[in-house]
Amino acid sequence: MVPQNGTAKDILVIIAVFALSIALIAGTLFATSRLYDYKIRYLEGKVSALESQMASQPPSSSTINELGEIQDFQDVWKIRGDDLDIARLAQASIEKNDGHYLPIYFFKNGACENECKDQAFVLDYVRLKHKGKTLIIELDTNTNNTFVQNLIHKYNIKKTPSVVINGEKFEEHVPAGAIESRLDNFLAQKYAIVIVDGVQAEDSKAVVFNLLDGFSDAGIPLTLGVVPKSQFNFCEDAALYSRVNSADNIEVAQQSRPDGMRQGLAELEKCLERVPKTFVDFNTITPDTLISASALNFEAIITAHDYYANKRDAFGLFHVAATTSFNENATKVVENCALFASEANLCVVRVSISDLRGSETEKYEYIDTLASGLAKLKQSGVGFLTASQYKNIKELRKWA
Amino acid sequence: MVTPSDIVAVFLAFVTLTPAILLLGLLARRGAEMHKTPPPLKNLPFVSVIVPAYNEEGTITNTLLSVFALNYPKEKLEVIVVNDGSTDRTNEICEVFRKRGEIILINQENKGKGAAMNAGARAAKGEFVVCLDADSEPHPDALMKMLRYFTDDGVACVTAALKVKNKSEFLSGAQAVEYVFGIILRRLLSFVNAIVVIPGPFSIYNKNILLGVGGFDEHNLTEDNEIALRFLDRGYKIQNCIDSYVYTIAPTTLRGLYKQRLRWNRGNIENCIKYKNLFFNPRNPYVGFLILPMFAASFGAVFGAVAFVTYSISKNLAEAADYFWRLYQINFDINPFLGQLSVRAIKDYAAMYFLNMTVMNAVYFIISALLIFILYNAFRHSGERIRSHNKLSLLAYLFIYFPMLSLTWCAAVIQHAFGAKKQWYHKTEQQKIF
Repeated sequence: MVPQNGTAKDILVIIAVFALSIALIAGTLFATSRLYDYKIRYLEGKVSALESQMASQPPSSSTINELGEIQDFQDVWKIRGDDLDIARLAQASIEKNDGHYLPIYFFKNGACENECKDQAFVLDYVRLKHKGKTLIIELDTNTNNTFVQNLIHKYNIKKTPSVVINGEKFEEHVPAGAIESRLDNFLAQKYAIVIVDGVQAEDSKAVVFNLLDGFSDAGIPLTLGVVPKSQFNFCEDAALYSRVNSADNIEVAQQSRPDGMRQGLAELEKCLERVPKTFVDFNTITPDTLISASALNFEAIITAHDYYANKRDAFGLFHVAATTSFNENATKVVENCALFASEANLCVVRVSISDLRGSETEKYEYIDTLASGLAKLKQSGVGFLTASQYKNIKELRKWA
Repeated sequence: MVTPSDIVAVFLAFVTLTPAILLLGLLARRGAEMHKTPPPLKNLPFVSVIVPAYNEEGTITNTLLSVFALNYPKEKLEVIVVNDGSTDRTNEICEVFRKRGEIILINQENKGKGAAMNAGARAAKGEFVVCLDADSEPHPDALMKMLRYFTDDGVACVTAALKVKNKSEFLSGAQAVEYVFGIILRRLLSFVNAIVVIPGPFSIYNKNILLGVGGFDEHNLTEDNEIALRFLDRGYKIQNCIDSYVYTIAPTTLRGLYKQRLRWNRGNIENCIKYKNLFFNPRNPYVGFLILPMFAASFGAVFGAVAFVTYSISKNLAEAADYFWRLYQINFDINPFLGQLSVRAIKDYAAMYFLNMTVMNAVYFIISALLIFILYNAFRHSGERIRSHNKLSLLAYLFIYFPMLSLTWCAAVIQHAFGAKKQWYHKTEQQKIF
């Protein structure tokens, strides 16, 4: 038997096979290395599409979802080098967010891989379950973007994962239930009560009537805090009680001392068509006040007193989110009111006649600014009520 | 940045793609000749069918009956059963056939399959001897078709198309797919005389050549691989007849499969070392430059692949545990995620998956695509129908069979390196495992 020998053709075929194999592997290596560029381009396309959608005012729920989804892709922060478009888009979204979406900042970085993934999963779940109701922005704390660093500074973020839900910071894992309860709260109807503090019969002068007119024009109801029986009896001021009786959106609430509440009630019943059993006080409320109010079957007490504001065990006691002082800038008052309404669903605006300073013109300007600002808040969906109206829509706990 | 995974991927790709490209080339160039057979023989030769048997009481009857059913003149066919020291009823069963004059029975003490085959070959009167494992059954036309290839004097052996008989079970079903792949593999390699394993179930040898090269190595774990390499070393040809079907029984347990493949792989390693002169030998360039080097390199690649797969599996298991924990935290409420399923979302996910592809992913896809393409052709040319196969086994073959088998490669290398005792995979062990 003659040994078989490979021909030159066989050798050439084998060389070709090896060459093809090496070329295929080299091609694969080249292609995979180029994929990153394509990925960036692909994500850039998505970001551009998002940018054009962001032109709408406010961002639509689909835009918000898109923003959430695009953040799920790795390397999205690296789009366009150091210019973090997602951060910019997030910033734009938040600026345009007028209360439609619960803003959630999720601070993460590569150091907290599993913990961050757990939190991201929960956030994704909430985002998908409540489509278009949350605006979840994932922020890598290691980036040098100004927007991100400002937020880190603002919320004093020291560890990851950290979550800031509508201003409330959590430095531990936030379960879905906790986020959802805050979302429910966020999505609930927001209310505001404007209380004019310390109205006395003698004061029913130009400023008070200017205030009543201004708020009446803006369609905002007022609760007038009065001491009915004192040096000047309420029913002796015909102009004031007539005005209260003739307007649907003005009501009177007592600010009497505990021993004067019964007499005050009797005084108001003399001249007012509607006498709500409501008490408002911002400074001097004591346990005696609550006892007296209870004895007279008062249904609602509104106070910003620190002691009672932090305890909810009093009969008919509204927890007041905050008050704004008359002395503050009117625009600031409106901003605060929007914030409190958003966070606590209730904003109580205190307008103190006695604290009003400056010339008549300045006082009128202040009232105009406040009324028009609150009117805008009303247009955005915040419900303005009187104290008794608010009482009627809330189920109040009995005072033990 | 180049990662260890990339290096493993490139090495794996090289040892897998190179033979795959050869197969594709052969398929393209010689596909039309796949079923082309030499003309029928004018004078049929005398053929001896040798059945080496060790504890084959459960299968030998069917094997012998299948031999008697061969479409071949009975006066030109003898059946020699070599009872290799069976301790079960094999001898008793064979005695019945012997008394009827249907077989020649040779009893010997247990010496292994190679020794049994040599004893049978020495006693054979035939010009050609057939090696038939005692658990296999040839198709009636197999012998007639295969003999045609011996018209070429240089052909030392003709192999058949091996199929699994018990393919309905899960594990043997996966092996059935592997055997279908082997059918086209052997046929394509036969075009360039690069068959390096002569399967035991039904292979025909030119007796003079077989005895001329010294017969089977009686101390080899894989005498079928050894004899093939010896034939190639001596310049003989090994042919394949793709239309001659032989049915054999595959292990149905992991332990059985592991032991079988461990023996195969250890034997292959030994034979690669024994026939190292074939490496890079221009006498048979396809074997010398492609098949054997790639085969040897694949042992190295397998270590990398096993390390990668082990790492991937442990990582995936850890991730699965994490996901379970996360799902637990949301009370397994997956509806929001299911609600996300849309054509667009899937498109986006697929796009990102593609764009995040690693070298290992890409290699895996390319190898899988080639494997599926060759497998499709294997089914087409082997007369097998996909729907007659266990679908789960088919999936298992595509996705987990090779990673699983690669463990036996690693074990074989380690055992060989540490000189572990050689063990023949006996039928009795398989029966115990069954």
